[in-house]
Amino acid sequence: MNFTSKYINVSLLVVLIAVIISCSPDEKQEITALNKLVLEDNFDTSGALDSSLWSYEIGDGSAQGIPGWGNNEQQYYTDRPENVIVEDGMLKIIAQKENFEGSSFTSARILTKGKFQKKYGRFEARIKLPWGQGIWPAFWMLGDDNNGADVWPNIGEIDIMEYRGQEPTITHGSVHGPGYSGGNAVTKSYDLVNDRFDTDFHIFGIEWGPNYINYYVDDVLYNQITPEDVNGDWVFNDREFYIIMNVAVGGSFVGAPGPDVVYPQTMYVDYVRVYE
Amino acid sequence: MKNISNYIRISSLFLVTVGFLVSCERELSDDAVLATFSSTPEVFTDGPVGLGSDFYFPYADSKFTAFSVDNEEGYQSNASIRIDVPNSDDPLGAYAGGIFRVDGAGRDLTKYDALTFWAKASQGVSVGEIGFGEDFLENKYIATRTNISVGTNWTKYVIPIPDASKLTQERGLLRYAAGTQSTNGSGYTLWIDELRFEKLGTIAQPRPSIVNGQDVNLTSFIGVTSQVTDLIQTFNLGTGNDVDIIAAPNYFEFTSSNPSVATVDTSGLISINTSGTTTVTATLGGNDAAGSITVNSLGTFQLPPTPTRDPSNVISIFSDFYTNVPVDFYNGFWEPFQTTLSADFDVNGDNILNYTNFNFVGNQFANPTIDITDKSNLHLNMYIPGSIPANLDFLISVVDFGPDGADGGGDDTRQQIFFNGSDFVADSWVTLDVPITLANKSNIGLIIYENINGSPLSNFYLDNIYFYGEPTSPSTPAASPTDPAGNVISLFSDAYTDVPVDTFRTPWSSASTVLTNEVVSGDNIKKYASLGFAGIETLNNSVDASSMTHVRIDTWSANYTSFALKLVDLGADNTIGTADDSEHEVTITNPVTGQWVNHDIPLSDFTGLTNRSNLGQYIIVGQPTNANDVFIDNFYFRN
Repeated sequence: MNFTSKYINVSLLVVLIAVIISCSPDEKQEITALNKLVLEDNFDTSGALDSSLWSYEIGDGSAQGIPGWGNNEQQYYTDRPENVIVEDGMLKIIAQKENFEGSSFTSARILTKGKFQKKYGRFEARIKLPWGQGIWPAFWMLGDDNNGADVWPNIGEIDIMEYRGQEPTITHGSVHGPGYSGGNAVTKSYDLVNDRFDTDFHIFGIEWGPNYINYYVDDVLYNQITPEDVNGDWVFNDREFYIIMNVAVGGSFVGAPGPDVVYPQTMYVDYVRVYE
Repeated sequence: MKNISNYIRISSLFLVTVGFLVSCERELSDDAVLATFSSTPEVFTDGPVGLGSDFYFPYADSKFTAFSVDNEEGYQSNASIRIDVPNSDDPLGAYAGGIFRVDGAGRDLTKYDALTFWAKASQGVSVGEIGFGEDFLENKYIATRTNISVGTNWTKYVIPIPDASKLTQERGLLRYAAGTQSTNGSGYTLWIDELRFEKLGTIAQPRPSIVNGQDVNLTSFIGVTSQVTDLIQTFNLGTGNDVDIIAAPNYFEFTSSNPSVATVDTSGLISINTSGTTTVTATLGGNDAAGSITVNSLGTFQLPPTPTRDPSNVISIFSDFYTNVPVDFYNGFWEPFQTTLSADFDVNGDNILNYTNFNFVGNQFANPTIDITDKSNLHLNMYIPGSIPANLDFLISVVDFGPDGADGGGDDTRQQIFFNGSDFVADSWVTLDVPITLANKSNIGLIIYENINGSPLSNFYLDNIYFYGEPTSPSTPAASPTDPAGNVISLFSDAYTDVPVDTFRTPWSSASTVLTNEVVSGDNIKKYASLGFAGIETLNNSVDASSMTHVRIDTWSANYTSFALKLVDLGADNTIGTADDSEHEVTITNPVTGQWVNHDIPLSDFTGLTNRSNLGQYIIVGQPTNANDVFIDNFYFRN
């Protein structure tokens, strides 16, 4: 997710094919029963987010030293209700076209850093996505950085859902780590084929345990990533991760926002749940 | 076609059988009504599917033979629809176009969301229109995607259905129009295959719109009708691309916020009933359409003055009272600088030109140009609604195309006529009457209207645009009278035998008045040039009109402002200038000029004429004095 763009390159496709081949039923697979609910936000209380769980990241990334959040994104994140609000039983992260603090768009990015962090478990959210060229919503996780002692990509990144507004039928699941970050991340895409992600809610989730991360959409498990799949150290067994949700506008992953995009564009989140 | 027909019969028989079996299993109650319309999705796969034998109907002006079934080319098959688009100069038709209509009951397409097909062409082309919903009957649910780029490899195309719930029994399964606009007139071949309705599941984000999504203001009047235009449904496809579909009005639900002011029918026709304001909006499939029309009805429309000039003296460009010459256009939409749009309307049958967003506009009538050599003036009625801009600077140019009869070419001449705010009254018709001073006016082809010097005039109406001449003499005889000769005492008429008249111009008539006898188309008439007053006398044979009820006279003048007739009776002594004489004069003010006017005056109007058995003197008077020429004919008494 962070800092540099990611592309599925040809060698990655080869890796993925190998993964699929290796996923035969008689291979060793962790059959887990991740059914104990340890975190649940159903966004049933209208107004601001639950501050005991969520924080906001504000700005265009300059204050964090990464203008455009490292990806040439064009939005300015705020915590205003115009950009992030809980209502109608849902979290709404709203991308607006407006001039604000030197940016042409506003949106929001929320995270559970320092408030809810966890190693392993089933992380899922039920989301209806926005649409349009250059709209880039994401539901993802970053590893704890030991108060800044560790840096990306060594801390690890798990992208549960990334999506291009101009490809309304396709979601992407990825991991980033040392030696396989940015354009070399390990990614698989999932195409709904006869449906879209912006017309109704879908569940995006991972099952994460020792040496594996399984990706699913609704009731379809579409990928498993294990240490064999990554071209570097597996950094997902040794630290807690926290959750991030945001809607970016523009950026290297999606390209510039299109002239015909209808604003506002809203990511609706029905719930976020974590099981172990 | 015979084989196809057989195939269809078998296929529909099969469907009926299945339906029967299902219904047996389900044991439907007597109340249940079986769906009677096929939902077969395929239109053409390896041949036409379920269309019946007589399904292809070309557009009347297209090349009828453009469509065939190609039994060699096909998308992953050996058969496809083949459209041979003709060259633009093909005498059999300049384009290919037509519809596929089910020869039989329509289909239930409500479960689909798009018409899809694979297509390729013999060269890269932009195909003008492909869609469905046209059946040459009601054409209720036409939907069309325009300017579809088709290359030389098979590619799948999607035409979303604006609102599938409407298509419960649709017969029009394909409409297409393909010309050579994108190929400089060169014909090509277009293949279409695997034509079917589908439920793609990825047709989403409907964004209907009317009037290009704009919020438009419309000033209007009682009795005026206006059409809601530019009806579009826009979807986002699974590819992420938006596609616009031109959708028939029946896909939309139109609403007027104040129906007492104006109603809007299912075809999007706004009818204005009274003064006031209302906003017309629309929805499609429950989604609000972008755009609106706010109607500001000013109430009763004041029609322009009814033209009175004799049609024989008029060359009309735009009027409902005359036959107009062939006009190329009333708004040429000259690109790129013209902004002027047209919102023409009619009020109870009287058509009005309405120019909006005006900067300049032209009326062209160059095929052929018109010869106004014998016409002296340009007449038009103009109406500026709302208010007159303070710095109005309005120019009308009348352009003669010269001997070459074509715009440009170095031989054009033009007359410019300038108007400012003092020439107009807001919310009123004014008559602009302009003498044409062009030396050459035998090839007039264009009238241009324009704002100059930053003039901000934006919206106005025109009517009764015509050239006219004021002929100085009648070109036709007066209508022949129809009163029976037995009821008439005639002093001057070719239709009757006249009584003896001493003189048609007494010596004491105005000195400047000159009488001549003239003939028009074999009809004798009298001309009084420079009429002041002129005497006609029957002193030698006085006329007994005591049994008569009316005096009649036909007059013609290009320039009189009044005409009077005095009758003098000589009294019992039958002698002029004695005490028993009686007389009376009747005046007609502002008689119509340039045409014969028939005056049929009751003798009872001549109240001072106490006796009429010895009429001996008749005096005609014209104004302006000694400065008008009057022709007379058919001067007689009648009962």
